[in-house]
Amino acid sequence: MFKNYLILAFRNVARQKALSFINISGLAVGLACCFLILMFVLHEFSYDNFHINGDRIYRVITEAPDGLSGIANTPYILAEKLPFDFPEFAQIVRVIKRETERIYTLQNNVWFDEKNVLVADADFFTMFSFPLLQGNAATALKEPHSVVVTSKLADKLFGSQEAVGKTINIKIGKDLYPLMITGIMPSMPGNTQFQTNMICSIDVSEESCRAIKFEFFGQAFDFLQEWGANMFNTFVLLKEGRTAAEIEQRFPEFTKRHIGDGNPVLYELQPLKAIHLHSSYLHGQDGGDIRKITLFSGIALLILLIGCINYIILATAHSTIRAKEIGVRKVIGANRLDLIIQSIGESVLIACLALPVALILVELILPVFNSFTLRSINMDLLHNWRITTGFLGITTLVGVISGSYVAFYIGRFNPVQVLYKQKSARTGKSLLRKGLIVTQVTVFIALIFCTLVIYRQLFYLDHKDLGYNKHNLLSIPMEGISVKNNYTTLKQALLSSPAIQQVSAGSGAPPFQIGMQSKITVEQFPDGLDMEWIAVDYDYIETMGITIKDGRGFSEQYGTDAKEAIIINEAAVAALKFTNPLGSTIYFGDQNRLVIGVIHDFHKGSLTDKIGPTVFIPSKELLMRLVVRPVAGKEQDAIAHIKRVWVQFFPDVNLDCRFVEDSLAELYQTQHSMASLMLVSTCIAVIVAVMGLFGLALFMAEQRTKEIGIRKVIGAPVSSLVLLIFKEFFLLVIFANCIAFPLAVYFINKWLNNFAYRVDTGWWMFLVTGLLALLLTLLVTGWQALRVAARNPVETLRYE
Amino acid sequence: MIKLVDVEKYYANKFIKTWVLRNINLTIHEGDFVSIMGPSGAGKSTLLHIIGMLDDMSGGEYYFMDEPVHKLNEKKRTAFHQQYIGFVFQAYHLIDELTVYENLETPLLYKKVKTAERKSMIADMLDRFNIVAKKDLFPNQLSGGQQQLVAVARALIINPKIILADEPTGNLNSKQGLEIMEMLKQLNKEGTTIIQVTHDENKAAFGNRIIHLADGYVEKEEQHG
Repeated sequence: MFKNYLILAFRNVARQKALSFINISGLAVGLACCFLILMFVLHEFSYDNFHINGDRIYRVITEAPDGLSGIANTPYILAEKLPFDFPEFAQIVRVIKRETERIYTLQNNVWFDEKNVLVADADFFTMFSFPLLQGNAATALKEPHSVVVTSKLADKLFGSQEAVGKTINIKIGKDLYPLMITGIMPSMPGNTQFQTNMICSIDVSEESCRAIKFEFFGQAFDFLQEWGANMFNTFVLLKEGRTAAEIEQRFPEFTKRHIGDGNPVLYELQPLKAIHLHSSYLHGQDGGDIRKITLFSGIALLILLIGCINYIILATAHSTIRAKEIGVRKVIGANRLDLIIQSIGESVLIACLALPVALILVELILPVFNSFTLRSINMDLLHNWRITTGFLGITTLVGVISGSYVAFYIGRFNPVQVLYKQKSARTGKSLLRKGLIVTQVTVFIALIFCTLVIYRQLFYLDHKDLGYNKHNLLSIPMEGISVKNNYTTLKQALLSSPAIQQVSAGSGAPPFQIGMQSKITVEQFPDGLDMEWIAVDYDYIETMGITIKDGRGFSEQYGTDAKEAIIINEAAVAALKFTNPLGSTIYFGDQNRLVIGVIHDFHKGSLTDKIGPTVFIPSKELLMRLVVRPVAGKEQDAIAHIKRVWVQFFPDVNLDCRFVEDSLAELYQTQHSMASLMLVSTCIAVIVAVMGLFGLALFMAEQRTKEIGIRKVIGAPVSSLVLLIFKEFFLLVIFANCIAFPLAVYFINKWLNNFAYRVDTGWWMFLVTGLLALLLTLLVTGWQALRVAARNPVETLRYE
Repeated sequence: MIKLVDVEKYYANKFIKTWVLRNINLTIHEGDFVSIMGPSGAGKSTLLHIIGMLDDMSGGEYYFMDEPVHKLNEKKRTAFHQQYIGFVFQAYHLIDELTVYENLETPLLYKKVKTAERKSMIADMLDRFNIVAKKDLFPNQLSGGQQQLVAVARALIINPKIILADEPTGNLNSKQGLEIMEMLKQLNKEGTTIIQVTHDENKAAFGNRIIHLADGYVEKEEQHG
């Protein structure tokens, strides 16, 4: 029996080439998308799930009172104090990730830039389950100045020589730290947050922190003692039987005692396994995002749905041609179940034929996908049973679902009717088929619309006037360099080049990473308000191109500015409820200052954030970022000049000179990558959906060949024949538009609401999308109609 | 074997009831060869479909081998098809995508006949109808007469008690038609009950009873031989 069906199914596939092609390719594309997303999802959920004590490991994070934002980092001192109050912790490990460090070995005196160097407490290798190839997990990081490197890095540094016991030198800031290799580990697996080639003992960070001389209004700032210096990830291992909840309850008391009442810090415990996917709201954290996973799973399912709907529409349409066969089968003894099995069997076969195509597609797309998502997923079907069973399961499910409706549909055929009355060929009349076509068109209209809006928002992000001149502006970090004494000479040296127009500096420059907040007090708010402040050189506002609304900028001509002047932005005027800001007094830091100017609001960072109230104070001491405006067209000369000057001033510090515009673009990298993914998936969805419509139109035109022939004979023009077919789809597309837009607007607004500054969905977008959908439909259906209409009616009417 | 009591059939439109069959009382015995005759629209085919359980009746009683068919559900009726009834159509109605062999095999598959037995049954049938050489051909590679021959073979392969033939020679030329009729006659002699619909007097004469239908009523019945 099964063989019989199989033979029949294969012959059908071979005979109906266009139909089979549309069915198989549509399903293959849908399956491929689903497979990719499935692998991605499995990978994302596998992050750090291999640690033996994983269920008991938590990270201490600081959450904002609203729970919507927070900081992944905690101060160094936290881990020092926790053990006294919390005996529940079996182990506490601090980890800090250093972006780029230079290391070199004494043997060959070549600098290597090593990304993502980790510094961790001694218990790192006992808390987390990273095996060591050489060395002792318990003691590897115990001794000061010890380091564990991956075998890959060891090979790079020492080739075939024994690496353990050798010394490498690492440069942090301008100091060199010799480290002894105490262990070798294999490369980190792809699914851990600890992506690194070397892990140094914690004393490296301690020493480098002490090396930074940083003064805050005359007081030395100790990074190791200060509760506000959030730099480290603090991981804790709970003793058996202890729960995070009972510990979290005691945090408020702990912080009150150590930090004080004034600025409540909410510490929380974040489970290790949740870190990868549930940290997007935390500052200083990159990783996955559960929302992204939901979004892309949704889109992949939509594409698969379109593929399935294609199959159902075409199979039911085709079944009217096969009605005779089904009628005969009923007459010669098939019961309903036989026909259901046959129908589902056929769709499962089609799905199985689509499977290898899908696998090939996945194999082809995977490298691009990986580079896009920054993952290293591979399709290891033989060893990863989850993926293999997942793939087979999805394929079978798709086949069964697609076949079920068809089975239901043909089950209702009355053999007498189909065998005698030639009552076939009633496509487009079935309500359900109409519903399916509408669903499909709805999905692709919604996707096109969303993509359109996303790209408009991106254009807006890239082109919005930010309140300062972001073009042609360079920013150079000077954190950790003591520029206090030679800033003026540095500035003079930079300005000596004709390629450089302006040079200034501030405690930050756009895009600001983390702002500095302090309490300021005014008459209206005697208790004070937390407000962001920026310390700037006198000409910072001019150099940045920020416009002054009222009053004046800082000027060295007024000798009193340094101690007594303050400039605020419009948002601050509003927050402080000033009616006449100029001349008002603000108590800031340690003294009263006079508002001498109000600047127009400008965007400090991403447009996702609202412009907050900000105050500016003049200073030559807290300058951590240099801003340089080159003469337009001479940017390269300017950069070359900066390099020369930099080497003279700071021969042992790396220069990191970047265009502000580039840094801003990086802010929206996730949005851009999301947009490209949306674009790609929309294109795929549209292609698959259009293929389905094409198949249906092909079929309908075939069915109406005779009718069209007769109409032609009695004098219908070709255009009216095209209209005849098109009209069947026209209303459906209009209807689909009506469903698609509210849905699309709902979802896209959810996304747009991530941005404090956003575009609105204009009516013209609906119009463009709607017209596009109609045009596509007209093209697809009209072409089929034309083809049939062009045939000689003598030929089409000859037989009957 | 078959007993129809006051069988009637109509199609109800919004306002009009269109009668197709009325007051049909008919008894058919095992071994009969019945020809149903009448002009177009007399209800011949509908009567055949009701007898063959392909169509429901609007009223009356129908007993097949003493079972009340009008009370049976679909499953039971399908079981009757499988076991007792073979169909032959004017337009042959072979499955185009299957070869001659596979067309013969399909009813046996539905009847869940074991592979070995199936093979020998098909071989017998191919032999008997002299179409062994054609077993791997598709229907569209055969002439009309050959197709009808295969259709008869397919009807016969389940060893039915009764064969229902709807204008079995309607699409054939006279020589092919005659061959098919001879074949049916032969089957009847071997014990198979046959009911055929025809409007050809000569073909009707092959039967031992001729029932004339007109406007849904049984007009008259003739007995032969």
